[in-house]
Amino acid sequence: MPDTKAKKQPPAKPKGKPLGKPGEPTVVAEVNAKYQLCAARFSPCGKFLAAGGMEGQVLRWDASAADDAFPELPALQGHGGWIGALEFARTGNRLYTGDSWGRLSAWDYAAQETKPLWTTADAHAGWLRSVAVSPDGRTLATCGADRVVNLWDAATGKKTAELTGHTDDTFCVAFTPDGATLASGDLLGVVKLWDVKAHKLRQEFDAKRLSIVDRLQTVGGVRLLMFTLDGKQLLVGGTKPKNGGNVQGNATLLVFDAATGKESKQLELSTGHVYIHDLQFLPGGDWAVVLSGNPGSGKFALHKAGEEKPYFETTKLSNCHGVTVHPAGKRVAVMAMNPNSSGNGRVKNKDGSSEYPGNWSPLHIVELTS
Amino acid sequence: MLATPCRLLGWFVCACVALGASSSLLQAADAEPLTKRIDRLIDAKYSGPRAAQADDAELVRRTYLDLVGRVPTVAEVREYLNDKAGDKRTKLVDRLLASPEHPRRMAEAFHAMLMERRGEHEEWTKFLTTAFEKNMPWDELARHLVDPRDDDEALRGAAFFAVNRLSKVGQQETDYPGLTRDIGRLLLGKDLACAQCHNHLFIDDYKQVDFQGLYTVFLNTAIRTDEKFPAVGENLMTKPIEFMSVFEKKPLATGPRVPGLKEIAIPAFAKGEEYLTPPDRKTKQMGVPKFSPLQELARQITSRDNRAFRENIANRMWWLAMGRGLVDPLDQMHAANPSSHTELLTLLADEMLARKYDLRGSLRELVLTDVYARGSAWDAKNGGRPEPATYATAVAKPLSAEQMYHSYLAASGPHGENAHDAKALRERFTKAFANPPKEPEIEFAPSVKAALFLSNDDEVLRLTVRHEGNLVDRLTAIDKEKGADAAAEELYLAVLARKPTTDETAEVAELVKKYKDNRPQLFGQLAWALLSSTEFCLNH
Amino acid sequence: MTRRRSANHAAASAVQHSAFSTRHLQTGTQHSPLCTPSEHRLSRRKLLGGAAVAGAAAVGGSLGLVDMLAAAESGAIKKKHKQVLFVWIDGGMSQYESWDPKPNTKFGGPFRAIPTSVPGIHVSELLPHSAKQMHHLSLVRGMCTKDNAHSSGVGRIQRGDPKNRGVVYPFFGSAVANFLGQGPSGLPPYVLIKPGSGGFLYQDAGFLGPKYGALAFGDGKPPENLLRSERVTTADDDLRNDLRRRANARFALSHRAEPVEAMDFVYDTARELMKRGDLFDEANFTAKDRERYGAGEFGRHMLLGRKMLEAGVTFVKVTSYGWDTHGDNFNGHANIMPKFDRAFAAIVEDLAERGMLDDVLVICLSEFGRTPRINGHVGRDHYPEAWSLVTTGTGIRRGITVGKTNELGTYVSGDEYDIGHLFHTWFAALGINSKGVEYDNHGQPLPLAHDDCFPIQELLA
Repeated sequence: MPDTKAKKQPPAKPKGKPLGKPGEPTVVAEVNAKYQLCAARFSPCGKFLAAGGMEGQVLRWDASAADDAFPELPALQGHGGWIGALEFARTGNRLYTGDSWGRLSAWDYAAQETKPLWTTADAHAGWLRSVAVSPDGRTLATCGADRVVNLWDAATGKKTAELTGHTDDTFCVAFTPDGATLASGDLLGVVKLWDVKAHKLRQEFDAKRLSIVDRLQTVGGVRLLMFTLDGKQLLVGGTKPKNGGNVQGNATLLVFDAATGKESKQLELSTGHVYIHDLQFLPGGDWAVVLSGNPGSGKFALHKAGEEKPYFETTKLSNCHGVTVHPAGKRVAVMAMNPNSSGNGRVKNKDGSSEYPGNWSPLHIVELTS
Repeated sequence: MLATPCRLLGWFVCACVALGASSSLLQAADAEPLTKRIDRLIDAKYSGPRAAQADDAELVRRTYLDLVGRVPTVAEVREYLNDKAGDKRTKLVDRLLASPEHPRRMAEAFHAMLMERRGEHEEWTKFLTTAFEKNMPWDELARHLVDPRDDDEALRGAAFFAVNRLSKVGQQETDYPGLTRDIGRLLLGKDLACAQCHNHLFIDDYKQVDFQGLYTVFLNTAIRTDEKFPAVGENLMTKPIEFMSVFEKKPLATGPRVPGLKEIAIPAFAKGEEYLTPPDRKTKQMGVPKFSPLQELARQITSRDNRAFRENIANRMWWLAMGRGLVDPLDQMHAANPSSHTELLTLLADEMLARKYDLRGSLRELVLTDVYARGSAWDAKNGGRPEPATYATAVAKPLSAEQMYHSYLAASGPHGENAHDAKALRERFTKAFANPPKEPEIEFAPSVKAALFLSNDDEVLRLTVRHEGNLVDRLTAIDKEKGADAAAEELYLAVLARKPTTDETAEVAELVKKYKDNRPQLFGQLAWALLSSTEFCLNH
Repeated sequence: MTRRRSANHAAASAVQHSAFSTRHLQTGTQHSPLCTPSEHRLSRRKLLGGAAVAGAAAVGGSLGLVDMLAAAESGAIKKKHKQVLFVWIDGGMSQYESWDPKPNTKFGGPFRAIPTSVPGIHVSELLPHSAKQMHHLSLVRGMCTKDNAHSSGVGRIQRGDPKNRGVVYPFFGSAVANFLGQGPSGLPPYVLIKPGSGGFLYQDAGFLGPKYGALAFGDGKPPENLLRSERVTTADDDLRNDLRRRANARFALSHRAEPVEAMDFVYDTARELMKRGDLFDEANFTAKDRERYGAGEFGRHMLLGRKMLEAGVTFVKVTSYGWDTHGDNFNGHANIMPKFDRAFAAIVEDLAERGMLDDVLVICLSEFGRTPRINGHVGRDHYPEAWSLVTTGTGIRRGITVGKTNELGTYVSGDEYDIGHLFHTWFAALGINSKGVEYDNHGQPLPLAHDDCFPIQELLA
């Protein structure tokens, strides 16, 4: 895409926009993406920020540049559609990405080279939703619209297993910290736990509250899966949907005992924000959570692990769709949206031109304590 | 016989006092009674063959339907048929007008006419019922419609007329033009809709300024949100409305104005002095401006300068009684669509004013005329049926949903108090027989929906199943005791308010013979057939 | 029913007006040139009254006998009985996720485009079954309409968005019911299969009058009171109706015949409908059909729609709700498009296979498309400015695309088509000359569709 919209972006915000009281998180920079994004992650080394876009490109910024300038690096090419699956391996400069056309790619993210190490065009028939990297970095797990969970050799891109049994679109996958178990969740609110070595189904968790059928549409589903750092609990996130179409509901996180499959808690994270879109752990185990609802409404919150009420929250950032914790633990990037992103019919540009304006996803760099 | 002239006289005296010796009125009081003058004007216009006057049976049914909204019971028919007194018709009319069923009938008829099935509201029903119980004069009633007051619990529901029309439907614009149009149609007999954007193309009398003068008043109103009951408030009006014909792009302006009358001047107030009660932004309560265009409009619409107002109600009451407006359609009163009987309409309109818009009194006069009592049957030997506008035969009126409901119950009953859920059943009848919203109920409109309803609705069918004391039960008993002929008579009197013909009696007798094993079932079928017949569905 | 009549007409018919005639066939009425810019052509036009064809069923409201007589006389459309399948996707199907994909562009969304049975035409990957039927279908990709609100847009599109003449125009279904009548089936001419409640939708008919409204089958179920009560046997029903008819016949001897005939007519139609209760019995659907159409609500409704067409109903409308995907548009479309796709492809295939496409006009559309830009709730909002619809069947060229959008799908490039153009086109496809025939609304001549629009020749066979 030619960068015709650049001139229409708002000017970069001055540094140090507080999100709360003194001492609370502050936005120190805004990585001014010109694109709409699906996912964003800091590299384990902390030097890179990568994001999957909606126009088939993986974007990269230099996260170590002076003055939080975040200069943009050449994009990684070869994907199509939306890149919503994007995970770094803990070691080895590896980044894995998957797109809505079913392609899975592996990259040396630090290299100047913008070609993949390997790529598989039809990793899934249809939308590849999620990729997870095993803690040892050797195995990848993916899932998608074909209702299949695939395991891959991370080094070669060879498929090692197809785990079948889901009966509707699968949305996310997550490894336990020991790498022995993989969880996968689908549109119907079914969570399956798989033995990674034996390729066998081990258990099934019921999160069907996160899904309803409204008229023609099955709505909601498992949108987030995370094992806690000790591997004892599984967090299952989404919404308790009220209706399809213009989906409404309360962002909800269910906490399951990973061993027994018993639900121990239901956290209603908000009323009025529809989905929990992302959750990442801070170094001490606290949660950084992002929620998004109707256009313009979003929430970034910090929770003590397992607590429903956050100790910090802000709704100043619109439609937060992603959060990633910088490995130093002092800052996060919140992937949000521009304000005024919605409206019926043809929209007039402020400059009076007839060109149809698009939206974009600013990445807010937030210092957690100022 | 004595009571009536006295009452009539009293009425006239009142009117005279109120008006201070109107010469035409005195003349009228001296001369022939109004009923005779009406008949004379009808007769003067048409001299061709006429239907015979209605017999007692047809007339008693018609009178019950028009005055109390249902068919008479067997006992009521018999009482009338057997009454040998010369003034029995007058006595019947006065008795029915004095019965509590009469205000109910009028409230139902005016509900259908004024709301055109847009919806119901208990406050609105209360307003209409109260108004007709005390025989509220039409000008007063109309003022409530235009400028409803909020301080009288029994009458404040009049605001529903406007509130229902101003209610937002989805994202559509508030229908100020629709409310404006209906005020014109229902109070002035003029459908000005086509004159919103330009002078009416086909009707020279309807000017754009006529629409705009009313429109500006309603455009200035809003539904009040500070009360739970329907209530309308007004904004401050400071200047005339500006408009332009879509054809001649010439800027025009008008203040509030009733078509044909002088524009109402908009008074100027010093800043800060405009309100009796200023609006409260915090509570979002509307202010009460010192100048109320609604109040002024209500006054002017109903003023004696406004001939259209009395002609409209005279025409509508005529329509209600006779089944066809002197001006037809009712909302097309203009020079190019004159009354079929010009002098008569003038007379009726003048009498309306003279009698201070007494609706009950005016209806009484109409139903006591000869023309009201015309027969509806036509003998083809006399040639083609005369046109309805000649009133040489009675014009058959469709039964409204409410008349249908009350009549169906009356004819098939009596049913015990708890035989059915009256409210629910009434709603089902309304659903099946009422026109869709905004469709005036003027013409006979049989529908598949109503046919399926009468054919298959279980609650309806139950009415023609034998229950203690109901029609089918009585027919069964009468047949057993007195034979099929007596049962046939009871059946026809109950449903059609007349005795059966020889053929009809023979038909019943033959069927009774054929279905001897299950008479109650047969009588149920017979009752259903007559209740579903065209004769029953019409007030002929 | 006599809501509006011209001065001339009112005057002329003041005496003849019958309380039971609802409409008059008008010829030679004088009209002001202002409201009818095409006045000079009027005299050469055939002014078709509100009632055109014999046997228009009074589904919801009155039936004037004058209508039927006028219709019989006019004999305007007496060829093979045409029918219409009208699939209404309520809330707004996204053109990007259906008929006009723009993969890998700024607004293109996550889905791919796939080839179809017509070389060069691609559709969204969410439409694999319809893609195989593309040779039977035509896509109009250059739709540009005027209303981005549902509440007004739904009516505006289905009424053809004509010039405002202060009257409420009929929905297309009512218009077709008016022109084509009920045909030989004796069934109501305009039926609607929809989720939720059923009933008689008079409002659809606008100025044509309630009788041209839709008979709605809520959730595909028969209309209220269709099924004969258990209290009444067939023999009972025959007997009571025979008695009713006899009573009516006696009454007609000395009273006006019209109301009697109208009453008998609505009872006949009601009883005809009662006889076809089998149409609603899902046990009559074959397992194979159920599988092909999809077991869900829309599949069942479309299958019932095919049964209605096979039974001879003139205008069958099937409505699907739940398409207003302001939030989570892509998961929404990923989930609902396949259900639409199966059923739509199946009915097109069936109509084609049975040779019915030669007589059945097929239309599938929403009140608008959805915005190019993807909002913060990952949804798309309403977009009337550039969207697509699909049509086929009698009178329509097949396997083509008409009009196109720009690279990003934000605007129509080249000719823009308003719904008025499509109304003219569909009338033409049904053999109704929308430029030569007018409605007669009690003397007010009204064009069938927007005066400034015209049939799209490219789309006509």
